[in-house]
Amino acid sequence: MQDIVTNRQLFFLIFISTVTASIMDISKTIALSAGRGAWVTIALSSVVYAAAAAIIIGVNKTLDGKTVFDPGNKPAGKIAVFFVSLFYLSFFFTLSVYYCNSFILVVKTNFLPNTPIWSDLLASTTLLGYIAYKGITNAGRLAEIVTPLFLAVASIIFLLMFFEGHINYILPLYDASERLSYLTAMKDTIVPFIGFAILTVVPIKAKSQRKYSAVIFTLVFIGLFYIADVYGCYAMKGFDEIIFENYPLIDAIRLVQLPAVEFLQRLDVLYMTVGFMRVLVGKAVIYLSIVEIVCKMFAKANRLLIVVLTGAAIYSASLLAGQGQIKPLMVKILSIESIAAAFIIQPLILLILKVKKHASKKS
Amino acid sequence: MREDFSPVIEELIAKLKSEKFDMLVRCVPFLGGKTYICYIGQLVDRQSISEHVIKPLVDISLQKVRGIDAEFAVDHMFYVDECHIGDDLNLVKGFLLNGQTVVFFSSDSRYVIVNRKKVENRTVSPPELMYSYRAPRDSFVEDMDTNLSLLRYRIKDDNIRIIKKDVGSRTKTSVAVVYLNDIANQSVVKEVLNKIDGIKVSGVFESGELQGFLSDGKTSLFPKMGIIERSDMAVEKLLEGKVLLLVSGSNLVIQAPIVFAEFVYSCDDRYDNKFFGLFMRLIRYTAIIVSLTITSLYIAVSAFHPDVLPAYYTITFAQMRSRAPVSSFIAVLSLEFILELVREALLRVPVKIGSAIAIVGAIIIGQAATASGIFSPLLLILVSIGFLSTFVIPDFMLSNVLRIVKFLIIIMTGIFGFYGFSIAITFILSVLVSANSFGVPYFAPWAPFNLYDAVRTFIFSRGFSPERQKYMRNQDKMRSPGKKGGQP
Amino acid sequence: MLPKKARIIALTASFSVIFAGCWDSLDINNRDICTAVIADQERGAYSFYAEIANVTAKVQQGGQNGGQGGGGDQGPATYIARGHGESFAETRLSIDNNINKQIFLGAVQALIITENMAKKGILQYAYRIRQSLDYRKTMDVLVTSDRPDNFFSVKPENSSTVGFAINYTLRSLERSGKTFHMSLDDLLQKLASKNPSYLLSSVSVKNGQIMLSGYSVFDGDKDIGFIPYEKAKGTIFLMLGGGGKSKFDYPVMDGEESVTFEVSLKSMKIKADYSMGKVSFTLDMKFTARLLYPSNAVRITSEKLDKIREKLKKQLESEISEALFLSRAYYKCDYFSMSEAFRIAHPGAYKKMIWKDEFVKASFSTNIKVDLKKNYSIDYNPGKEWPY
Repeated sequence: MQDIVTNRQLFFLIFISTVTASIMDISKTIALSAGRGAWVTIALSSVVYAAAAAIIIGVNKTLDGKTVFDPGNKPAGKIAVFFVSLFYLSFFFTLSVYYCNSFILVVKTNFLPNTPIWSDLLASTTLLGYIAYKGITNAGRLAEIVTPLFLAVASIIFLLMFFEGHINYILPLYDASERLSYLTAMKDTIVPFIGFAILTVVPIKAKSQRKYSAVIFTLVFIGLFYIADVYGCYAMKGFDEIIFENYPLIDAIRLVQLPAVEFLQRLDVLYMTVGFMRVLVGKAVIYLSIVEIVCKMFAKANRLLIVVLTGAAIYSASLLAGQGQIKPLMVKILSIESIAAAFIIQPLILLILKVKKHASKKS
Repeated sequence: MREDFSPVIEELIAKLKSEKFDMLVRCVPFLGGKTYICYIGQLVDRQSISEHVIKPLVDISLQKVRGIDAEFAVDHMFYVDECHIGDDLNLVKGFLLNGQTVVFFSSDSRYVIVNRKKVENRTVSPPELMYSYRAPRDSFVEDMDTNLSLLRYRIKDDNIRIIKKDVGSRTKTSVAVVYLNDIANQSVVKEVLNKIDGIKVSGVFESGELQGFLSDGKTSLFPKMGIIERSDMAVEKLLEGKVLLLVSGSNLVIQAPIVFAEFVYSCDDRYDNKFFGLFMRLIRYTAIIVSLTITSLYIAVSAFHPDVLPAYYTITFAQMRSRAPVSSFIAVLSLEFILELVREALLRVPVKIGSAIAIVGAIIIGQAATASGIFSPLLLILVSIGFLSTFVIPDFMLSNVLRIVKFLIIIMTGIFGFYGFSIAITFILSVLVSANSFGVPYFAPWAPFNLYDAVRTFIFSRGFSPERQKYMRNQDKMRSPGKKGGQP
Repeated sequence: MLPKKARIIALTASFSVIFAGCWDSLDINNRDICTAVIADQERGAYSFYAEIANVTAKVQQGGQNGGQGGGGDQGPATYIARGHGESFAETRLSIDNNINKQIFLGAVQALIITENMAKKGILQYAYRIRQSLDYRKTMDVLVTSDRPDNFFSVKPENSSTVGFAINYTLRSLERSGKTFHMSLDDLLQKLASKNPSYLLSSVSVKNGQIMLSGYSVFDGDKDIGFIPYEKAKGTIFLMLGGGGKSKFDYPVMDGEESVTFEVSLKSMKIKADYSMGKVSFTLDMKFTARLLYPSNAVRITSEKLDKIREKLKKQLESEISEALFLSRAYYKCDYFSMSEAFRIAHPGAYKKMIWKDEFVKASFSTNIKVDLKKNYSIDYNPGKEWPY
């Protein structure tokens, strides 16, 4: 039976797999490269990635219920499918390790400084494996529950950050002399946005309705969400201080005070309780993507075995990634792989599919 | 001259008697032959047998009528509503064990099976598990016929279907599958019937056992079928397209399928004002969250993140725990365990000393534990609130599950703080969303989300909800026949 | 797949290892809750003084009813942990040696730096605190000219600890619009900015009570001056800005009589200009003065009100000008953050200049308007409409 996700589930899946790790530090990254005009960079990026996501939808719709990883793809050929699968496997694996490692460091730095990383990873990887084993439909349903909850909490907190923050820290929103830096800063938005690549493992029927508008809306929404995140952090922390913080969002939320809710002093704990759930499901979706690809590559293998081996690989790699020493390297590798995944391979596949379809129609 | 089947009959009777299952035989001679009335005394209404079966036979024998056979007896003699003719001698033992009375005629190879079954059972009484302040009080009993009559006097639809099956090779427990043919999803009906047919077991005593056989998965914690104690609720479920299973000998009826949201539903919500129903459902959902999380949050705040609290209260909090010899994690586990002991003890204790046990429990746990400093007063308050919250949930099956699940959350929070709390909650949610009950997603209508059904999970009234729940995929989608959105 | 027994053993083993942990679990009653910290530096050596709430002392005093909470008349007993050393690390180690539980800094209400240390520079200490996630970044950072031991010798009447006493005093002043809040995060933000000039509240002990005595002026990380609280109204108006956040009572003299008004700054617009290489600021300030009470029973007329308005306006102008003068000409540091207004208006020019130098040369002009409002509950001229 084919896994099917509704438009709503698609929105939540893309959102949760994209806004996984980057939400914590995007304000610092973008402050360094784009300054106070970050909204221009993020807005442009969301439009570009929305187009890339639409291309992936186009590919999947053309394949009518199959994905590029399905071995029976006649247009692509077995060897091409194998190499594409291998590439995406490595891409999702790197992304998964990056997310796992980033997240665990957030937990270790801000919440559980004495708990060893291997223990945190073991607990979370076990859960991720369980979610991945259950399949994409169930992951979509889980995203449907967790994401609205997170969005509700995050929206309230971002709103509070704007009310309690200083408007002067945000202004001016546009500086004509920095136009070029707004464009060059788009390279820093690759990793924060690339989670939408999970669309490659979501089979879509040719007759599915409004999938294009759903993904475009999702990417634009993510852009707006990031803008709220970045400017909320600017408003609370100040632009100059933010570049020294590794996790500016958490620090900014710590400053938010709710006089009416005096018994809750640390809003970041409330945010992170929901945030942890979101991150876990987001990581699970990436894990699931790896499992789906491997299952298609080795159709006869037992799914549970694949899940366990994938989990073990991610766990080991995340441990080896250490305490953030190789994060810059991972970001560089991911950026390159992301560009290839989103802007080279998928458009190429779509082009080949369209040409072949056109040729078969003519003949 | 009619053939004489007496030797065959007597041989059969002798064989049955040798098996020593307490069969009784009454022999009534008539002109040209004999009748043999066989029954098991504990299973039949002996007075009725005497009046409506034996007496007519004796009367006819006095009249010296010749040629009495099975057909003559059924048409002209037996004053009973349910009797039929059988001819397979191998089935006789089954009929007798099932409480039927078998009448043999020496001039006929066939026999008459008379249903004068009478099993001691209790009368219809008020519900004990699903008590409601505003609802009918007739609840199901152990007798299948009584239960069916409770259903049938409430619903007189000609689309009602009752399919009877026997489950258990030795107990041959009668199970009735009841549904409305034009509403229920036929694939669910089929699945239920197939599963019942596939049960290979020696005996089934209670609906809970049957439920276990019909549920998917060996490790399923959340119940995939619901229980119903009251007949009005059962009829309501039939009208919603559910399939009911009545088990002979059990006073609880099973419904299939069921979703998580239905465990929080009580008939009061329907019979009372819809806003009150909304209020009560919100209270119940809050109670679920409270019962699951309150003690875990205590551990998280006390042991991992005390700076969540205002500074002054942190000091007060520390003072409350200053003499505690154990960590908050161990304290919570101990107190939860003690309360589970109390809960279990109150179930088993004889009624007369129950109140004494309750008082002792309150004194020991409430007064002495606080005074000795082992548990802090705040912990006692929180655990008590959590304990009470489990009773707010109308369906005890869910509250039983929550009692177990709560410990998972406590343990994960005790190890990892809020991080462990999140992991546990995510795990529980993932179990819920991936479960299915006879093809219906268990966490519907929230996952997969359906706005119409989700809103009506909280607010229900006939006028507001003309359509049945979409996730049930019933044949007839409208509650209110006629125009859409019509009045009740 | 592994055989079933092996799976069970593997699962049990892995979860047993996790469950043996609880590495970060430490109950609050097993921590020393610190409510105030004073940092001092004298003759090259550092000293830390931490006020620790003694959670068990009250229990002993209360007997069987101990542990019922701290809502009674007196708060918990406190004791002072002291540490000394040549470096911060050594000083902290010295404190850790003196206490018997792990210190909990999440309840610290006030971080006080002595004037001695403030004059030498607080940058390293600020960096030390920045990396520590234990402190709440919303807590107050204050300066004191008193000796730490004097400070902790105070027995607050209404509050349980010195830290809470300071916190309550400052919060109540803030709520009534009579001071501004400078938190730890604000301090860190200022130190990281291009214009690291700011004011920190200064507290001291007077007549056995802890009071807000004024504001210490910081340029960079060093304390360079002091503004007494009594002369800081203008400064507070400028720091808090518009929106009615700041409020002071002004008795305005008219001969031998006086009329007291509650003056608040309704709006403040700062317009920054940059022409011919010169920075100039125009401050449009609208004050609202609500009539409170006169000194005698004479009816308040409209002529009287006009005279009072003019006097009040002059008084406010003088205070604002003095505050601006102190900042620009006397201390030569922009602790009012005029740089923000300039940066927003002229971002390109701001990036190229050294703000400190330009600020000193900047010119200020103020337009002050005073809007008189009647008293809500008392009619001081019955029969007449306002303005009387």
